[in-house]
Amino acid sequence: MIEEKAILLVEDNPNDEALTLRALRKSNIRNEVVVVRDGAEALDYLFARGAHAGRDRGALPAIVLLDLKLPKIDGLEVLRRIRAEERTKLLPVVILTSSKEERDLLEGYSSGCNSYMRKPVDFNEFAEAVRQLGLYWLVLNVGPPPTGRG
Amino acid sequence: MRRTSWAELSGPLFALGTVACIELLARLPFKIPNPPAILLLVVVFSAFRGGLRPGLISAAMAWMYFAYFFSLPGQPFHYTDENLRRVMVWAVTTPSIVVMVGLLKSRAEQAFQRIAERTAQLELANAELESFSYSVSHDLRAPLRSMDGFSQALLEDHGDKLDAEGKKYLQHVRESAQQMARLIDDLLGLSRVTRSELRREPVDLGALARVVLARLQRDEPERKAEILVSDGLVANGDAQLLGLVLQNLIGNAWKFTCKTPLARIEFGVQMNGGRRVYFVRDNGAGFDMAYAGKLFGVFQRLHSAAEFEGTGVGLATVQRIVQRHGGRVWAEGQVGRGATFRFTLEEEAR
Repeated sequence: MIEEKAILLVEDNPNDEALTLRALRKSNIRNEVVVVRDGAEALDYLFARGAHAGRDRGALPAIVLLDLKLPKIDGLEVLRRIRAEERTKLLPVVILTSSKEERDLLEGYSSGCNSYMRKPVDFNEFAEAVRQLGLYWLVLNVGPPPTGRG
Repeated sequence: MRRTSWAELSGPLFALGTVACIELLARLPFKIPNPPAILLLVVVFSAFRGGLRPGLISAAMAWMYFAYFFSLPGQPFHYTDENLRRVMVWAVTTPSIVVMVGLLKSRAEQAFQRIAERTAQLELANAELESFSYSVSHDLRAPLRSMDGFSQALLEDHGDKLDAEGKKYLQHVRESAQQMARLIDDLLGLSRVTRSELRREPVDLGALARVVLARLQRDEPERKAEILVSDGLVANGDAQLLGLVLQNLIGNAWKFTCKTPLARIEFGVQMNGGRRVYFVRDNGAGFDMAYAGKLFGVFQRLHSAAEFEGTGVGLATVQRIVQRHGGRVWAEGQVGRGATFRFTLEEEAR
């Protein structure tokens, strides 16, 4: 039995965080959800440094749910750094954000996001979207093989 | 506006002065000063007025002129009337040319500068609009999501502590949040219409209309409507934007005929004074012509949300797209009898 990998939620808005967690819970997704509140912390977590230095470097999350507008380092920059790093370059990243501005879509996909989802305002739609997202990325999708031994 | 200054007239005045001087000197009994000296004077003037290049050009011209007319092999320079006239003609034309070219150049430079300034201003305004809508699209939706989400959470987790009226109020909060989200999306769409580049190509409007109608029918399969789409509706325009025009106009026709027993929606073209005028006609709710002027304003609605839902951005979007194509859109209607929206896509002859 494979251990359940965590979900990394990168979200600075506490209300959105609460709603996303609620939606995940309602969808019966039991994976641990690690919440980080800005781009710098997201990178610290993934690269096991800074406040997360004590973490097992080899344990990558199953999926990163990445907001775009973030304090310190924005989501697109986080994505670019994830892709630039050998160990995390194959990590599935789903952009989960408010906008569907052409520029965000273009830069998101150009920087190598695996999927782009716009958070709907209607919570029922949002919950349904999160449910499908969890079903797809945590159950149906076969992730990349582990690369690099920390 | 810019007026011609005295400095600019100095060239022609100088030339006239030179002519007068030479004429005068030629009429006087004593010999005139050295014609090469006059040539030199003109060269100096050209260089002074026009800069290095006109100076060099007139020096070269002076040299050639002098070599051709005045230095015949084996003949010394003669102070004849004929020679003086030649010097005179040269002395008039060269500085005039230098001055005129300089004038045109500075005018052109000023015009270019003005264009560059305007372009910079426009780009600035566009960049501001861009960052404004970027921020709207990111930041204005998040609070709405909270309003909707936590109202729903309250209903789900603490619904037992609320009576029917309390629940109804929370529903109102949710509906309002969702309505505002739609407004924001529509407004962003409207601003995108303004910002996006116009790519003209032949577009089959009939085919676009059929796609729109098929989608509407698919969403409401129980509705029956008589649909008439003419053939040969190929226009020259931006496919994506024109798709949006038809989506709005046909979407409206569909919406406003939902209470009409024998609904009928027509899309076609008529020739009017050599121009193609496209029209979308329905026999639905129509509108009072007294308010026709308000139809295309942003957030303007002629029906209450209870009668027909909508945000009041659709027709504003249509108008903006049509105007960007150089065309015009207008409407006729009668309450209870239907509405006809007409638009052109080309510049009208004046």
